Amino acid sequence: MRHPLSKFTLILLTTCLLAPYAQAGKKGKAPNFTAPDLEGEKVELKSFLEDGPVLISFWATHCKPCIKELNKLQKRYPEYKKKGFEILAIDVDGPRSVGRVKSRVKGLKWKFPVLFDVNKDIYRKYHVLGIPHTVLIDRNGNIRYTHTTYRSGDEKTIWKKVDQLFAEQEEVSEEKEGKGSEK
Amino acid sequence: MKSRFSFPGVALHFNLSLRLSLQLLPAAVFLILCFDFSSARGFDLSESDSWSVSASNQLEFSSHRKTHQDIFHNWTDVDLAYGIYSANLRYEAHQPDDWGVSWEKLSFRNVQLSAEFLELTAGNYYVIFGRGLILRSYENRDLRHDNNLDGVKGTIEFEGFDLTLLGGTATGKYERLNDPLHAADGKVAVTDWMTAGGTYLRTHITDFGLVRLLGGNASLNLPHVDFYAEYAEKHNPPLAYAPDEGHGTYLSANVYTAGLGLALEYKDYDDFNFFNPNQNVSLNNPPPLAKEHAYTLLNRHAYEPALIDERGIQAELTSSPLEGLSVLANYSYTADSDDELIFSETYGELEYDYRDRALLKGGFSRQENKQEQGDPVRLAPLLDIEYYLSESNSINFILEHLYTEKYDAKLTYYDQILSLSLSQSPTGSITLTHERTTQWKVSENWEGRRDWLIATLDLSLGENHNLSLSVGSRRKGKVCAGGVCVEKPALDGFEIKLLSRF
Repeated sequence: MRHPLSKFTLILLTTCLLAPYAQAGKKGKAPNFTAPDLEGEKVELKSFLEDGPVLISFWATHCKPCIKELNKLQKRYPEYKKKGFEILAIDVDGPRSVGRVKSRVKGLKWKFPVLFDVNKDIYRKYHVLGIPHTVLIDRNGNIRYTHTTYRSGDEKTIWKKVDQLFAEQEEVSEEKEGKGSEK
Repeated sequence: MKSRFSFPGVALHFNLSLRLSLQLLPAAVFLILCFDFSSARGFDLSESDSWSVSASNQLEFSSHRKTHQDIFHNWTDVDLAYGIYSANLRYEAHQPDDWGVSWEKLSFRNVQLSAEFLELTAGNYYVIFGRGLILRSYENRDLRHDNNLDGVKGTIEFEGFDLTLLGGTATGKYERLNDPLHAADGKVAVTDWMTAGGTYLRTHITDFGLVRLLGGNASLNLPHVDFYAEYAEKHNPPLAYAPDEGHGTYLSANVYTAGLGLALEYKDYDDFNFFNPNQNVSLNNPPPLAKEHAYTLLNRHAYEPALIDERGIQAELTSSPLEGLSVLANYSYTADSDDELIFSETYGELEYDYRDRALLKGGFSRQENKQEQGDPVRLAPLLDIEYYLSESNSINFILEHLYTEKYDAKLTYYDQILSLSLSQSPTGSITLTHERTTQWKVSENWEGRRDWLIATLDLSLGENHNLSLSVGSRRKGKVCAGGVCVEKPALDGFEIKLLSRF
């Protein structure tokens, strides 16, 4: 008879061994999706990426840290929105509270788009295992940063990562301009 | 009982015999429709030509000091995608599960085609129609709930017209049910601001008979106000324990302006419990219209709708009247057709962000619950204070108090939770939680504890792994979501949770 700890230890060790590779390697392409917004209009991730990086944040009305995080992100959202950055707050409430999402969002004065994922299709596509869960995607559709849970100060890490993406974007466009003038 | 454990051989139970008869019919119709549309619209079937693999693992392990019982739960999900095609697999192991049974299996597998306006799934899938009055198949790991369907589903979205056709069998607690279910759900955008839809479902339940549900819904989106209405009927054979007809009505309205939102909801459910009595699998999940609480004590006493004879309302107001200040007020009321109260709650919450230095929250709830013995009235004040020590360090204190009166206040007791948490972003947090109750004074033959103390360390291991280690004791109690509750066992020992994405 084997002890369950043996399996647990095995999985833990495997995870720890694989962790650095998961970090160091490319995080891969963000799966594209279409979802209805608060007005019932269907919007697609791809269309937002044309303007700049996108932060996806999975949340629900009963999730305290999710609302805390989105309130914090809202504070600097207008400043970054001007540069082409977008936040997509994906509500995973399900039928129980989906009827109250719109009034909650309007009451909290969130300005970023809020999308519904009532059947949790996007949730599963992104392998979300708990909320809040954030995913930062660059203009090319690559996942550049993911984070689960929220602790005060996490929003600063997110803004730092977004700044890095904009810096990269500038570098690329400068390189292109340089090559263009050489020709 | 000490759990036995055997390392799982990956027994791939590919049950791909998809009941070729009626279940494949929707898919066949869809394929014909879709290829017809695809030739007319010329949509691109080669969105991306690269392979991608993604995976996640959720592990929970607990060891109980006194009973010497080890409990192990694990879910591994793997997705494989190539352009518009994908395959999704899930392997689950429970040693044992919350009901004391050990099992492991490939619990979810499917192949999918997702094109611009077409999605086809063969294998396991989840689905919801409208607000879940007629059908909701979903997974919630906290509730240990998974009633996925196995069969074929096709969805087409074309110029404001959505249609879903499906056939399949639902998962029971351990075995898949033998009763096939077929359904169609359609929605059309009548104008830019109005949609209308309808649903039809039929299933023949073994030893019960043919059950049919049909319904319609409509939504209006106007400036500063929107409405949603859904009505559904259930028809089944007349039996001594189940009336042959039932119905459900759900209405909601949102009225809002910048900084102020009001949501109003109404329900009327009459003999509307749609379940398969073989293994007691519930197939619909209409909105319960009661506040879903994030705080432990209030969540433990959430309302569980029976859908037999209930009608009710819920109103929720959210407002941000001043910079940093937000207000939430919620009122819900459920009664039967004789206007006898079943459940009511009044809840208010104030939150103030003090100059980015502290977040102060105070709340209060009053509940009356006639579902429980003794008709309890519960009063629950709560306090939640977070103080920012620096840009990345904070300290959080939570007080939850729940005062209960039963039998017209002849019996009273309280439960209380105190929690203190230190967190550092983005590394982790450590939380100390103490719960005490005076219920032992009023409950005969009380064998339980009076105090519970648990320390929890949460760590983010890089971006893709979250580790949570708890040591101590935690009280057993209900965990509820969406009107569905399960009794979570107590813990006296240690617990480890590891979430990983690859």
